[in-house]
Amino acid sequence: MTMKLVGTVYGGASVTFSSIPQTGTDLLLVYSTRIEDKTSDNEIRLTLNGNSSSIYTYRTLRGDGSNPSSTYGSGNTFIQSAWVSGSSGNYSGSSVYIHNYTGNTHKSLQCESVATDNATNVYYLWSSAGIFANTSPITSITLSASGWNMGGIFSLYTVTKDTGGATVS
Amino acid sequence: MPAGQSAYVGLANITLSSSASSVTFSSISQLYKDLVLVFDAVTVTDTGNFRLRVNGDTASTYDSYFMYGNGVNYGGSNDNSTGYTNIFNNALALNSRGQVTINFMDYSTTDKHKSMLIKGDQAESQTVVRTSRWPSTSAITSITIFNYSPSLFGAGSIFSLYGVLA
Repeated sequence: MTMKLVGTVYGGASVTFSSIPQTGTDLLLVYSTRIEDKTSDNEIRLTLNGNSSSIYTYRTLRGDGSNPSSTYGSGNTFIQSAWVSGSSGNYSGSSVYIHNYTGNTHKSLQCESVATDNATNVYYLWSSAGIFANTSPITSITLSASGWNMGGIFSLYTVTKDTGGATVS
Repeated sequence: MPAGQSAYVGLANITLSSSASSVTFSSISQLYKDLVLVFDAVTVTDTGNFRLRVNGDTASTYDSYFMYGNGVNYGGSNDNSTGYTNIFNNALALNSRGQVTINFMDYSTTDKHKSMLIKGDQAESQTVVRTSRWPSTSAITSITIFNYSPSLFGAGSIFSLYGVLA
């Protein structure tokens, strides 16, 4: 099966997927969350393999309809993977795609997210790119909200490529 | 779709063993609703920018709108190119890798122009979200990804195509 569910975890102070099977090609993490004990929105931090060394790099793009922004972190201890609603808002939808997670190269991540309120507004549209400068296969993923509690549901999938079928020139 | 059948199906894949100027997925099955193209590619020979072409069409103008952020600067624009759509905004550095995910909606229909949602990421330089339109009602039967000449895709670059069932 091309896309296979690894597991589903419910929120808390942190969420961790561990012992990730090494049988896929890429990983897809999708989650719906909000910050339960804070009324305003907040970042979601992502680390891999329990590694909190200063080896993460990311670049972000955020739009709220009037005040766009872009940030970066280099030599960081986490990747800023999303910006989600606080308890005054609806659950935010987010995804993280990790390429070639079992390979022996640095690991690349593509993240996107949307945060909304409980009315008619979209707080943010969010896109970020991340790199984990470590060549080990990914065996665990941890999400946290810089000290706040996350509500919601988190699901991790492996994605397995097909073989053959492309022409090179 | 029968119960228990995966809705996300691997159609084709290639990992480059040596440098190449382009990768083409051809004779794409028309059994699916959408396509998803995912790749993680390294730029060699020179700085580059990834580009995409549908059905070998070098004549049509691909209308494209995008937003970008490089960590300091941000913005949006459009670039309508003849014969291809760009993926990134800024050039990728020599020997650097870029990651791309592209959704082709309703690729097999013959009653509408084809829309693509493109996300291009390189943590060292930029994140880009883009929408592009191929102005043809023909079904998509081939997709070519190439690098801005004289740049090439280096060995180890991985390209995967998936079909999504309704």
